[in-house]
Amino acid sequence: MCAIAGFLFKNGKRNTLNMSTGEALTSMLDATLHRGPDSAGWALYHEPLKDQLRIRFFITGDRPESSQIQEIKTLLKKQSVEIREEEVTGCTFGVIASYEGDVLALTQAIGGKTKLVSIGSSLDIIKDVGQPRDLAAKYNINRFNGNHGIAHIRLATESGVHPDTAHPFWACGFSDVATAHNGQITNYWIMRRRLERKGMRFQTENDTELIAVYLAYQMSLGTPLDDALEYSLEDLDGTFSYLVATENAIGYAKDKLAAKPMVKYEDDELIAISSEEVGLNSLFPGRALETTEPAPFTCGLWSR
Amino acid sequence: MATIDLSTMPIRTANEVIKGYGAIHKDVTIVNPDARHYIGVGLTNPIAVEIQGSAGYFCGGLSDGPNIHVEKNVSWGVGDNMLAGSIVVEGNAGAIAGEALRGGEIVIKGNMGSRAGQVMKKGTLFCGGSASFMAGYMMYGGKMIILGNSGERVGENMAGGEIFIGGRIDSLGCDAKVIEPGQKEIEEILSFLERYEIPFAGTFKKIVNAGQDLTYGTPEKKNPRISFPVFSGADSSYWNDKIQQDIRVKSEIGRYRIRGYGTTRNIPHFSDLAFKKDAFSSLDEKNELSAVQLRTLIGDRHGARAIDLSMPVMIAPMSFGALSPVMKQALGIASRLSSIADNTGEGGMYSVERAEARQLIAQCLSGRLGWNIHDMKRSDGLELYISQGAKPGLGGQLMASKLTQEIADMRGIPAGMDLRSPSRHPDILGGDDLVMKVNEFKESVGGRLPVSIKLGGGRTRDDVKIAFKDGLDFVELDGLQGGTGATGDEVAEYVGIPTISALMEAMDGLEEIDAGGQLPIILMGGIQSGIDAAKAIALGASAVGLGTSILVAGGCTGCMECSTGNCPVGMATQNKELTARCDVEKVALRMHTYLESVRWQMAAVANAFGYTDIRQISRNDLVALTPEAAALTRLPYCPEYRERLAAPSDRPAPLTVKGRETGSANYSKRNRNIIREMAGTDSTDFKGQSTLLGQLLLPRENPFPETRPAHPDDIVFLSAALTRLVIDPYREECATETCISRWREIGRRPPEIPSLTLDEPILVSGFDDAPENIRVALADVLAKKGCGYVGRRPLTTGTEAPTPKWLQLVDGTVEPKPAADVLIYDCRTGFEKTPMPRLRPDQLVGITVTAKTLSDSIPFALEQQMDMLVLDCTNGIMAPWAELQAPPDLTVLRDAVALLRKLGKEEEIALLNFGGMRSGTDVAKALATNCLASVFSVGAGFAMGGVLEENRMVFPDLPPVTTLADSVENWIKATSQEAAMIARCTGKTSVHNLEPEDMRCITIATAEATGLPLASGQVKREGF
Repeated sequence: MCAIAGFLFKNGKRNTLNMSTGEALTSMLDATLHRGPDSAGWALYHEPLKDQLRIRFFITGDRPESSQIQEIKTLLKKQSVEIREEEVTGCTFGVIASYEGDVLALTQAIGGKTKLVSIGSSLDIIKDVGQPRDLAAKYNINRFNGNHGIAHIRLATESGVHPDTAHPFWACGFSDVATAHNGQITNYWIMRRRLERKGMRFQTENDTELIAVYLAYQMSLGTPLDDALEYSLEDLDGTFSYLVATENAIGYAKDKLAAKPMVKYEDDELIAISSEEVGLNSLFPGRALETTEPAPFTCGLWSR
Repeated sequence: MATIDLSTMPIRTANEVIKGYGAIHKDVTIVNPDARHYIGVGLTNPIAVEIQGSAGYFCGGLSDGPNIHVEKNVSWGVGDNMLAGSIVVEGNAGAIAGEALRGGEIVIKGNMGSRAGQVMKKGTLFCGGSASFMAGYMMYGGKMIILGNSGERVGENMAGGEIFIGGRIDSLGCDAKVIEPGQKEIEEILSFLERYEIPFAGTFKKIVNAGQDLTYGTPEKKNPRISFPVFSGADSSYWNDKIQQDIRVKSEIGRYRIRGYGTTRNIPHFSDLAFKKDAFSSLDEKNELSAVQLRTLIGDRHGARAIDLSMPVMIAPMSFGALSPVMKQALGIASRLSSIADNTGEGGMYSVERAEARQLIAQCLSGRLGWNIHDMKRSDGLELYISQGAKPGLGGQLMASKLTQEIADMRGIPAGMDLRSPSRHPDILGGDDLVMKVNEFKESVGGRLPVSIKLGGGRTRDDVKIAFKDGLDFVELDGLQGGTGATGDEVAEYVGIPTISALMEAMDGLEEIDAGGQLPIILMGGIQSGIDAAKAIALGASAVGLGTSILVAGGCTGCMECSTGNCPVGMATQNKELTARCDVEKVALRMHTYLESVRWQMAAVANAFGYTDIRQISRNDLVALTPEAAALTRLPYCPEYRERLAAPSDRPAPLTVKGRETGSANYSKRNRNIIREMAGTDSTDFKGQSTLLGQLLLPRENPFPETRPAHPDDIVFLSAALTRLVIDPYREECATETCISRWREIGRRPPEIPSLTLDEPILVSGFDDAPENIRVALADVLAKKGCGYVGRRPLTTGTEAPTPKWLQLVDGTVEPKPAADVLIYDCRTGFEKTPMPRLRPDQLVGITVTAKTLSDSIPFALEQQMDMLVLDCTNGIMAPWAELQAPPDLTVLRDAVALLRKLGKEEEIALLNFGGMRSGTDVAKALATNCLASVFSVGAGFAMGGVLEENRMVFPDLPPVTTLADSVENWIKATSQEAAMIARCTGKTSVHNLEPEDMRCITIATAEATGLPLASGQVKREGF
């Protein structure tokens, strides 16, 4: 129960929009704030790093920050992850690190012992309790001017309001894949247990995490992302309009009831997706836009 | 022309300014609209509004007469509920354009989004481009013109109106058909196009209702009402007369049963709680009960004008339609005399009731029947109905016999249909859309009226949080016991949580987000007296609603014929001969007197504690008299209070009740008599009121004593409301196809793993030795309906006709057959690790599993790569009519699933269950417990005229095969429909997506036997 936002520059040209990618995402969230006042988040895709990963962790409020960071560092060291840069921002600890092994193996090794937000050569997820304008300032979102990203504001339904139940969700174990979702998956527990039996990990009881994990599982079987999106239309019950992003693309899937809104604006240079046209209009104030609504029971993927 | 700049003026102000120009008939231009929402909402003057750009949600919604022009696009719900005027959109429209339109013209020059014209009733919705899917969904009337393509499933479930398509018809919706348009109609369209200067040279096809689904088929014959102790409480038998009647009726009508009233069986309730102080012994004629402060203001938490109640009581919403005009008028009078609030219920505002009631809340339902801006303004509060306790997940029902021309006109729909209102709003598809609807309502009346929400108890803990965050002013919360004029019987009984649980969940939910005490809860559902009301308030409710009880006070006899229109006292009917029996003044005065008794009782309770204000009462003043009530409310269990209250010599003896009991445990003879006495006892009659109070304080017997075993009846479902979207059980699809296989992973099943596909999750067993007619009929129908037969020998039709799938039961007496689709080896007498082979690679193989054998047999079955287990909850499926020996042992399901889960192989073997299966609801409960299909035996026997003779079933009359086949086919249809209905109520589009998490228990024994949680009572949830 939320609003989603997605943004992608198609060919690197930037003549039509007068704001940074981060500002564009924040602006779309802010314009649809009535849909989700509880928490906000962004999956930002920076220029990919070579042989290095961006890893972000939640720091919880119950123990001293320094000891949590120390534990994370010890864990990383054990997995031969060498930290090159580090920062503490808001409720997170982020690093850029060299790592040559498999991300899934790394996730499994450290996932149960710490709260991972995201891992990717390009992806960095920022999410927290609060409203998008405030959080954007706190986390310097508007400085982000990468090629694409997805974002979300949340009205909690069946799981609590914490930073870790905010969206977007990282597809736990799969580098650079993130999802943001508006709706409710009603076969959550069946699918969760099915995925857990296959060794997939869940960090929350949030149904969007299920979408992320589902897509990750499909991809682990070798299913291409566009096929995985299509299979999700059948496998997931309930209502959803969700966005997925990878290193090079953003995509969407929309359930058969078309219960959750999603509007798209596209020109020669960019694609912007928002839950409402008012979000798109916030990018181009005073202009009347050509917009479209994707059809029910469809999915799509756009690459840069 | 005036100009308004929305980049500088907030929309709330802008809408007032627009209305101000409307009042002096001056046109307006809006600059910098930037797709902002609610532009022009609530405008009721014929002025021109020029929007220079795009508009957001609900542009021109809830209006009458404006002429709006939008330069570019509009978002969802343009022209929502407009009565007259025009809206021209140069660009595209989002979803639900012209929803609930009641007149005027909406012209969209571009494309329009999905579900355009949903529940529209009149007027014209035009689209110059193409429509998206389900244009004309559930439309009741009016005209839709689409120059481009229709989109998928155009005209889905339309009940009236006409859709003209200039382009391609992508696909037709349910119950819609294509006909040739008449010449005159074409000319009208062409002149419409000319008027808006839209060129078009093509031809039109016309789509109308096909008339297949406007009414239910075979009506239900009048059946004797069965007294509630027969089917509920400690002494009821498992296969009681009510169960038999239900199955027999379903085998006649081929669908779920419909009736009035709420839950009929025993449910833990306020009558299982007691106050720590005895109000009776504290009574003293000298006490000034009127000094106890009861006045309650509700609804001003966001600055609206509060509803002003002289005591914390409201009349529950009951529709004009379900109730007769005289009854609605009488409710208006009674509410005025007692100075409380009345409620329109569904279907619009009855002006006579409006005139009589001092305060009237207008209820807005999914079909927007009778809804309009003028009645909103005439009301004292706006209520968005999401669901109700009697039928969470279902929309309202009004049978054709009650849908007279007058009522149909008021609602804006065709007369003579069996009206099944949509199960959800066109524009409230979750908490995020709800906030937009709430804002639209607030805009339409300038924020001056409280906006509330009606919720049936279920996922209440989460739902109230959304209601709080979405800016609602209060919540009308309804428990399982809530009444209604017509609902599906199984939903009334088994969907929702008890009223006391609903309240507890609401309180807990609000506490979890630190909003305790900030969102008033008006509790409804089986509340009958001032004592109940005081208990509700002690537990945290701000007020209560009275529905069925006030009808009983007015003279309702409890015949439960509300849905048929044959109400003998003229209350719940539109038949003029019957309504003539209802004397408006007499009924109004009785209801008023009843309300005054309620007031007296509340004051007496407060007084007993020495409180001067009813709000001083708290949960510390309460105890629970039964273990169930204690567990559900977390109050201390103090059975000793039962003796203290049990009629000492100075207080009135328990009311003696003669004759047959009623059909409803909550409205037992005793309870009904007390309500009637209350309606006839003046509040100044101290002695009379004292006697009544004494009666009311006497606790009822514990309906769930230790002797009552765990029972499937004590499991209920949580319906979707705000957190989840309900799938409309009247019309949207829910898959029942069932694939039995040991492979249930994500992806595609490897071809070497065998599987058995059924059309329904239903199997039948136990007819190996039945009379031939029965076997042939069963064979015919099971084959036709794609169900299977479980038995030692196959069912044969005796002709060339296909035979049903055969799951052969194999024990020492029969040889396994290669022809069987499945071999089920019987292991009831003890499990030995003997070879149990399949006879061909694509044959499935399984074993029976009982409570005794499961710990050994399940690991063995997994090791042998068996395909399925039959979880046998009886003394043995091989024995004749095994189900009659004892109630089903529910622990088999619990333990089998727990063991499989422990082994991490929950879905590596298919589960079927046998024992105690009676209805589709029982199937839903089994499926939710992870079974793939359920095996019926005795239930199927009843459907074919079987009767019980000691511990077996016999067939005294043997009708011809065709008659038997009709019966069993009807029964399967109804049973499958019931299972699918429950699944849709919980938000699933397949019955196999039901989950254990969708269920709760109302008794401790059942919670233990199933491993499912109670309906309320757990402390703060993990993670909060």
